[in-house]
Amino acid sequence: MNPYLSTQALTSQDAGSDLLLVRRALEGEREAVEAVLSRLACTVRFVFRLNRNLHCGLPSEALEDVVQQVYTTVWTCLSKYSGNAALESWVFGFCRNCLRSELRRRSKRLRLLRSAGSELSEVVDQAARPDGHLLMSEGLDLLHEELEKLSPEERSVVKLRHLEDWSFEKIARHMDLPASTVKDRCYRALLKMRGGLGRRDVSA
Amino acid sequence: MSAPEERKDEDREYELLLAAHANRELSVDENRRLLDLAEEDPERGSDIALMDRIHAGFAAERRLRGEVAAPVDLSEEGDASYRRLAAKAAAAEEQLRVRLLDPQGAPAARPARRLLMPISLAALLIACLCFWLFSGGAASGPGTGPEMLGGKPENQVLGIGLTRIHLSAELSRSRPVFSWLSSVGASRYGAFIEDREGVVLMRRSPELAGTTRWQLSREELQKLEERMAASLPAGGLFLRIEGMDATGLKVASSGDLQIVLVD
Repeated sequence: MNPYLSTQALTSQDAGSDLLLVRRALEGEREAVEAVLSRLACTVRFVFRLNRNLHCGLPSEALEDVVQQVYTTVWTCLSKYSGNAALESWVFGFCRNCLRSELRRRSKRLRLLRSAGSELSEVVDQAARPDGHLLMSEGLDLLHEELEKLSPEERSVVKLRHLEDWSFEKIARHMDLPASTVKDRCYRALLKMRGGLGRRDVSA
Repeated sequence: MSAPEERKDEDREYELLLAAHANRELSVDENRRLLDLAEEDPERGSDIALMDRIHAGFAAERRLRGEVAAPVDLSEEGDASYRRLAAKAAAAEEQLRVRLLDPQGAPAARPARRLLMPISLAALLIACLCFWLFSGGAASGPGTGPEMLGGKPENQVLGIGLTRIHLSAELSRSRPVFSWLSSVGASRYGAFIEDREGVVLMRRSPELAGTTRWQLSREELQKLEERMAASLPAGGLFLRIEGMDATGLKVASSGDLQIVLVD
């Protein structure tokens, strides 16, 4: 079975071998470059479906910009790829962030147009409804914001456990740490996230 | 045991259970016990509710990832905006390929400002030279200027015809791989298996469109063998490879090649 086509593709890929693959690609090894590029082909599907499933409503020309931005970001960040997640998962994060940036950019422009009382605002409003998206995926955005506040070590453990669905034993082997340390780190990180969400509730 | 000591033990038990809950390692009985302990203290209850919200958020994110990573469906591929997006990705992929295959090239291209002046001067010089040539400057001079090249550019350059993709359609059961050399101008390839009527029976995953090989999985090979057996009386099956440029335009093709299965 082609691992890139399955739902498990984001979770079960051997991230360690992906790191080796990326390093070989960065050294210009043609076969590795082609393999990395074929793995990145999921970008189209990710961007297209994120736009659809999160009801972002971005028009196709905006999505094209997002795809371009994802590839540019990949180029900029490839040397920093740590192998802590499968390549598809790593790219998924970029797709999501670039889409979010595009939505915010459009949302900001929309607000500016509205505040300027421009007639164009209606046209823009019809073309995309970023405000609607922000409401719909607010929960997920909050989660990601809280995740971003964690230290890299904590974030990595939480993502592997709760998003990649790895067992603690697998994470421990991958990070070369005792499983008890990994569990403790994961729990502490979630407590921090819980604290962050609690403070948001109070301030709201 | 005194009341404060009991309370201390209970707090410790609650803490352990909450950690197991946070890490998604709680058994049914332990979960029941955690809820019992939470009932006694509203603060514990709100702690657990917040933790549940985080878990629900992770579950939603996992679900979203599952939906997004699901296999490509044909209706999606037929969508015009999806195709435009794929063409854009192909162009971006090509840029990335060039950068990765020429690690020296990309960083060197960055200090563009430093190179801007010499490039501008060179362009200006070329423009002046062209103007001089086309305005008859060369012919009016005493010497013999360079002659314009006669003949038409090759089809390959103009894109009038398709470049031929050469490959063997002989497929080994022990190593079921079709592979071909990349074509000038093609950045993505579609690979199809069709019957004599041109009906596509199998196609390579679009995920692999940037590569120049198609390794059939065991299931695909089995399917191919079944289809081969069924189609033999009607003339067998054919392999076709098509190369597309960055805009999605077909620029190369293998034509229909009869597939031969060998051991």
